[in-house]
Amino acid sequence: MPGTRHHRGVTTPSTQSSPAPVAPRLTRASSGRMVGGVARGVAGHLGVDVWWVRGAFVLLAFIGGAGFLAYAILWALVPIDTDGQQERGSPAATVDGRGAETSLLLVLGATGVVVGALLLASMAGVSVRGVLPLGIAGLGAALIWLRADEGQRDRLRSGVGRVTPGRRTGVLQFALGVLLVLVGLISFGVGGVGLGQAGTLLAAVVVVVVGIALVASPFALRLWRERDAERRARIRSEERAEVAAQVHDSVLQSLTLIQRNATDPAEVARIARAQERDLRRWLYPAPSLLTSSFRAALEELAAEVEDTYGVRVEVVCVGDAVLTEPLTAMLQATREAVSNAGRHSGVDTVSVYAEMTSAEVMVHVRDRGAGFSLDDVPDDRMGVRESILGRIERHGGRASVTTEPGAGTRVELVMGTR
Amino acid sequence: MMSQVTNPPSVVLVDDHRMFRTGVRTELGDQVHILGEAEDVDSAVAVILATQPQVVLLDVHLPGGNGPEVIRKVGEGAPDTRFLALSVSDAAEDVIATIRAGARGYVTKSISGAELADAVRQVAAGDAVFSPRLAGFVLDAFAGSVEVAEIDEELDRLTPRERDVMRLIARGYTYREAASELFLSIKTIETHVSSVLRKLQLSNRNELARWASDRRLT
Repeated sequence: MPGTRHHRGVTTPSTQSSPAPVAPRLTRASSGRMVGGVARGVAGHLGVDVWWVRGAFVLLAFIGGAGFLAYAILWALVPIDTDGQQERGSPAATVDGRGAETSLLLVLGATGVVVGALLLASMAGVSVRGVLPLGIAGLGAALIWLRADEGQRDRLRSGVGRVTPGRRTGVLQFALGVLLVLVGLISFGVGGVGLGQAGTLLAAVVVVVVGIALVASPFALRLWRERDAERRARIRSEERAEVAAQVHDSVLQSLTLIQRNATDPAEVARIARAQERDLRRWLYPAPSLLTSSFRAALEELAAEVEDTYGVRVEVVCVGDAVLTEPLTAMLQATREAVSNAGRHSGVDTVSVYAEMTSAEVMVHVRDRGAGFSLDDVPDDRMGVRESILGRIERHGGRASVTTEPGAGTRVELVMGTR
Repeated sequence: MMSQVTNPPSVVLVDDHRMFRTGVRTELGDQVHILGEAEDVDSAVAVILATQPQVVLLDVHLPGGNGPEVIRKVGEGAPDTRFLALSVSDAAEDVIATIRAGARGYVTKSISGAELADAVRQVAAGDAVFSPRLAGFVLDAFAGSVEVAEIDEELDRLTPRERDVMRLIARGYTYREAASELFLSIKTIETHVSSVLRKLQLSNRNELARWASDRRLT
């Protein structure tokens, strides 16, 4: 049996207690209730005396058991007051955080179902007895619904660390619900309803179904919202996992490395810089619309030089270009220029600027370091002459190196793109 | 210190990391006169209004809002205060948003103490401070063809000279170096930079906003 559970403080005159075996069992002696606390809840909500509501239920109960049916449906669908916040008959009580309109909707829907069904039925000349099977079927459906609602309640409750009702009870309720639906429908069929009445009855059934849908919609909506929230929570937790992985794989590793190399400032700076770059790339991914982007390749190259020579390479790019063969050559020349700066300049920062237009790509590499005299570079040194100037010129571009001792070095490369 | 002849600019430091504020304080030393610190939007607004500093070093990301929020909230309350954005963020959107909110410049936190002190002095003197990256953003944002009949032509494009200046700054040139490269006075360079800043803040160019947000999406 469901464990601790308390209901909205109230009751009903409808003496039927048939829902009792399946209805939530109350362990908390909620004051002022007689059966399921439905009437009290409705009264509290509507702000009328509870006896009016009880009277209405009783009255309706005499009309083919409509009061009974309405009560059962409400009992099934109105979630219980989750915590003592809703004391007896307190007005404007919102249950489970649902707004007043929702519960009003419930009351109206349920009442509408029953009254509509009964009116249609009696108009069609069906005896009230003929409606009873319908009532039973409705009760069954309500029980199934209760089951669904129960699941939600369980989840809510376990979230707050409260006792959850046994699973078996749920299955039992569900089975009983299905059984009642079947019994209701079969006895309806066996009741020997004439063919002429069938159409009207069908209409009545439709009204009932529509009413149930009306009653159920807030719950369906809530279920849907819960799903949505769950999905979002899952996405969040996945993102979190990704962040955790990133932090673990890179940041923590780097911090460990830094501690281990604490005596070597150059190494510490290199590790920290590599980590910074890595994190940046992850946080602010470079916008590359191209599959093979010159820009991306240039940034990668700069990163490699940073790692190798322990300098900071500041890359600023304007535009982007597809990495064609001439541009690949240009990239290699750039690598040479940046590496030279990292190796020889003696300063800790190298600036790389690339501007890519539809007509040409321009790369500018600059350091404020030692500089050198071009004339002093021996002929057999491949670096500047071959790797930079020659390479660019072979691909139809222009290259210039401006440097003098003590004045830093500037390398400018220009390559046309068709 | 207030009576010092060189009169170091007065500064309020806004950053949510105490360690960073301490570091900046140490690096700047007595090159600036620090009037106060703040660590979130509300305390920043309060300190700025109370102390009326010449320059606010403003972190772009703050709890309770962001840098631009501080600038907007201070509004006319501190008419002589200028803002210099200081951030680790490379996201173009953040940079552009801060500049458009009214900051006089943007530097990244990797800047050296001496450069930062220079930047503070420049901003205090009414100049704009462009880091290479910001210059790159500007060139990128104002690149390409503007539709011929744009509404406000003057605001929506850079003059060739401004473009030249931006290119040099993007390459890591100082204003002085740019001046000698272009055979202009430093003052002229400063005028060009300020003019670019104004365009960046006022241009209605649709592409500017779209460009900044595109940079974020991809």
